[in-house]
Amino acid sequence: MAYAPAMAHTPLRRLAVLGGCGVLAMSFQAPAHADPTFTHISTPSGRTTLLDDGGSPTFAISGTASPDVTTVDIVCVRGPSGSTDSTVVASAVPVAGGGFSTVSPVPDLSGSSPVCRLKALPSGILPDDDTTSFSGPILNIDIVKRTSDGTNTLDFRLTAGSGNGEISVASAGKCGDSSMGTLADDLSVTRDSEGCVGDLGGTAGSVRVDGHPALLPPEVLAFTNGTSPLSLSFHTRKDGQLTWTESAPLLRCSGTDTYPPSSPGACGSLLGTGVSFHRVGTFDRGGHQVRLRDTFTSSDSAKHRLRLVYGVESTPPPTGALGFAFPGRSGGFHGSMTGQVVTGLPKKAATVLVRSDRFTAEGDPSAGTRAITWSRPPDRLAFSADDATVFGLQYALAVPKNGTAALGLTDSQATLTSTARALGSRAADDMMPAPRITSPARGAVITGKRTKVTGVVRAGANGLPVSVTVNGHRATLKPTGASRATYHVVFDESLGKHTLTAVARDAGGNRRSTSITVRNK
Amino acid sequence: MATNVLRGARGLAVAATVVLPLALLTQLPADAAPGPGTWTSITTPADGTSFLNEFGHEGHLTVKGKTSPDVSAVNVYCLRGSGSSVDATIVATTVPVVTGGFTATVPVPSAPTFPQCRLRALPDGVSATQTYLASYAGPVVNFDSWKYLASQDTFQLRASSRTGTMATNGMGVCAAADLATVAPDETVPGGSHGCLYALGQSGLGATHGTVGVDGHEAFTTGAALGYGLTPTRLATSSFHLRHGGGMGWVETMPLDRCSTDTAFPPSAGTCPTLVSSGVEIRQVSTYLPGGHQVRIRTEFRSVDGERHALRLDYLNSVSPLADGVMGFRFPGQKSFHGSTTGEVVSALGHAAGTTLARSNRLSDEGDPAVGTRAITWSRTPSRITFSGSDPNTFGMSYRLRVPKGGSVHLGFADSDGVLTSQAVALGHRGERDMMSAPRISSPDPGSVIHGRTTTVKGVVTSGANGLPTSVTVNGHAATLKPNKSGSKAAFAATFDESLGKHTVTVVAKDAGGNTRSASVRIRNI
Repeated sequence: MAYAPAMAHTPLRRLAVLGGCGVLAMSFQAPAHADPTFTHISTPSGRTTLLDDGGSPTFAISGTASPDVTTVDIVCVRGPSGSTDSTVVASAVPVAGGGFSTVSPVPDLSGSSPVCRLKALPSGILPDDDTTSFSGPILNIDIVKRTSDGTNTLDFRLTAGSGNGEISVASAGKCGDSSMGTLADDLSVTRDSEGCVGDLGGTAGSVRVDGHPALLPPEVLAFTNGTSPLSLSFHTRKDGQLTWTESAPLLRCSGTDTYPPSSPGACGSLLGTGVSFHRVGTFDRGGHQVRLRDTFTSSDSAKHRLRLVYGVESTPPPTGALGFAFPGRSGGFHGSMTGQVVTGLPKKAATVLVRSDRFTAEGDPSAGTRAITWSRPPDRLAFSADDATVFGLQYALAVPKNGTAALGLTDSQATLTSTARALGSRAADDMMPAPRITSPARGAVITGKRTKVTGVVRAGANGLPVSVTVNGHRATLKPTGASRATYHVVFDESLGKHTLTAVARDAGGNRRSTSITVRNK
Repeated sequence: MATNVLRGARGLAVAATVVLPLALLTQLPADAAPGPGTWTSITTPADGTSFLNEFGHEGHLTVKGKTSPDVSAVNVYCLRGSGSSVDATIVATTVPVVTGGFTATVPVPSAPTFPQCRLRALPDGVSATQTYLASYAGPVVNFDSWKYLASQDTFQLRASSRTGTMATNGMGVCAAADLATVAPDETVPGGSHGCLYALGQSGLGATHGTVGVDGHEAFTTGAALGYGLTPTRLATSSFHLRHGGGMGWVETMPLDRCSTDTAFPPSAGTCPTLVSSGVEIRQVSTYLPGGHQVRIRTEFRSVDGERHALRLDYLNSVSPLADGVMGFRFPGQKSFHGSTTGEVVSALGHAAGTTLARSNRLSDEGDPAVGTRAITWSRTPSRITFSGSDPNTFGMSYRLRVPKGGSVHLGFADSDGVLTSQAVALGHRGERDMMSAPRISSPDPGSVIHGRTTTVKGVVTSGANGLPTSVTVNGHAATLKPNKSGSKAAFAATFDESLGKHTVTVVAKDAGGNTRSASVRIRNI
């Protein structure tokens, strides 16, 4: 049997003997060296995020080519050489004076991964050939597909890429954050975390306002004769971070509290519940985290009782079995049962881990772990009575008169459970900012024992902190807006050096602190 | 015959397994396919385990694991990639499962396409070509192997460690050859191919070979055999796995010359007898655990008690991609450029340095099909000369003196990264590792010294260029006392310091112009 140590050079489909006999027989026969053929796309420059939110956006492409190139096809490619997935962006772009330039529509990759590498291929070169000499930038092509009644947006679906991750997101009443995947170096994607996180629709108990089932725009569209406009906006940064906001009134049927209404007519007319919903979503952390920050605001100046069930659905691979690791439990991943209720959850922000297949080895690239972090402990975490892959996070919140109730969920994903756990831990920390001490200054000398401390707190995922203490003394909180409050407190300290520690606590049981050292003399 | 001593191999003996084509994989005996919730898990060997065997003399491997209750027998594979493009090596077939567990002791697979793969125990009825196999969990293992090639008195070695894989030959052929990155699914999409630090048969010119001793053409054993000559003795080599990952190998080889001066190239007719040149090579190579660097430490030692003058022309050949063009970045340069036949590169610096070679200089940084190689030397070659016929082959020339009964040392590192930035970082590490910092044994940090007279003592150790040639302490030359083996030297320096707080800085310098320093703070009162 031949022994031929060799690097199989997959991109060239060259199962060649390189290190072994090829090297042993090293000769110095000169290969024919014609001038190399190359192209280089210089615009867009570097990794670029393009947002297609309708309106047929275009983008400029320009670059240079070797003298032997007369026309180029602009393609966006991903996947391993030999089985490349490519999308044609522009065909037969002429090369003049060693350069080319065109303006093309942003390609529609919504049925595929949103990340690809742009290349200008000379005529006759196919994406599956060796295309390493045709260089170009990686594009994140974030695409929004809106469902509209002609005037108003009623629903949306978004695909986006960043870093080495990609996501698919739907509106809050129709799945929320739906899938996350990891990109390989060749930009092929492993979608190892499929499901819905942060869904506020689909069941009678998803959203109830003052005891009535409430509907978000996708449900209004699906179950009634009416429509409810969804206000949407998207913002991308060059580094791939994407932020979106969705806002809508919560409506209910005048004719029935049955969910869904037995027929569109049974709903009767649509009534306002007096509460509006607002979600801010952020996609970043290298493409592996989605932060959802939901607020429910009284729109009729009245107080309201809110009952929410955030649905979390995970889709296992066809032959795998989901694994769940709940906070406060040990022993790794476990299966789930229909109707199972999970108790003993920590009384603060915490993370549940969902492994796409609990039987996989850590590091197996075809499996992934999702870290779902809540800003406040749910009143109840229960699995569906008929589907052990679905659980709900149940909350009862009070929306104060003219006020707002707030809640946060963060969805993180990684191939390694250890990475997902770290992302979850960071997400829990991010649910609440630390207070800031504005006075006294760090190292200040205070004359006498009387010590006055002032500072600022900002709203986190659970809204503004509900209390601030400084060295155990309760401070007075004065909101200066929806997202900011000042605090102050006066107390006596003994003379000498002290550490002043301001501790803020939010409605979810989370605490953050800041300390400075001062001296009373 | 060379003595190929296998040290630390975990396998025992015999038999090779076969890599079956996919068509055959689908013909394995099949029960009803298991459904969701069916699982297997291989518990032995552990993840990351390496096996080192001589090709054709593989030892045995014990595979143990557990399964869900619905599994009655498993087929154990080692897999790279997935789905229809999976590269599957059969390790064991129809292993019975008894009370949820299985165990099999089988021959270590012989020379799979790449050493690294993931073991999985697939229940009967599950094909290795199935797209999703993650429920059948198993470790990533490295089937490292080597083979002696008698016709060239060299070996071929393949190994993997963590995210890297490599293939190489003995020092008379290619001291470093291929390096590549292993993707998470165990496929190898790109890599850097070539042949580095070769002291083989052919030199860059037609008039001389790669090695000269005292003005005579000298031959490594492989080169001698290549010319049809009979070496005075053959090389020896030994291989061992390293604790913590990676592996090492040690070679010794005589350098022979013709008994009478003869024109180059020699033949059995013009050079009927080879004699020792008086110099022997001992080379220690290490494949570092990260899997992306090979470190080479070469010692040329006098075996006849005489001094010798060495001429070395290390040959390096790198391979571009089929439709790409090589890019070279020599020390001091900021970007890749092409090379020309016969090009001479000088002004390479005066210490350890690194040349980068990118398999396609026209490619994007980050393209996984392309790799950058960092070629690091412990001392600057007198020049780099490209072949007169191949712009991808260049020689690195050295003139070294082997002292009477002593040795002269030289070191190289060969690194690879998909990203040039990774290769640069590895090259820097390769340069740093060429020499260790001196150790100050006295005075201790923070010491108080009474008076001005200050004595500083310590130890320096041999690096890639051998023992440091000088040590200074705050600019004062220290005396150096090597130990018998030449692996260490004690240094001492006494000088006057003014009273007060001082930093004592010891600077060691080696024969390659590299310096390393260590400092302590003291106070003279």
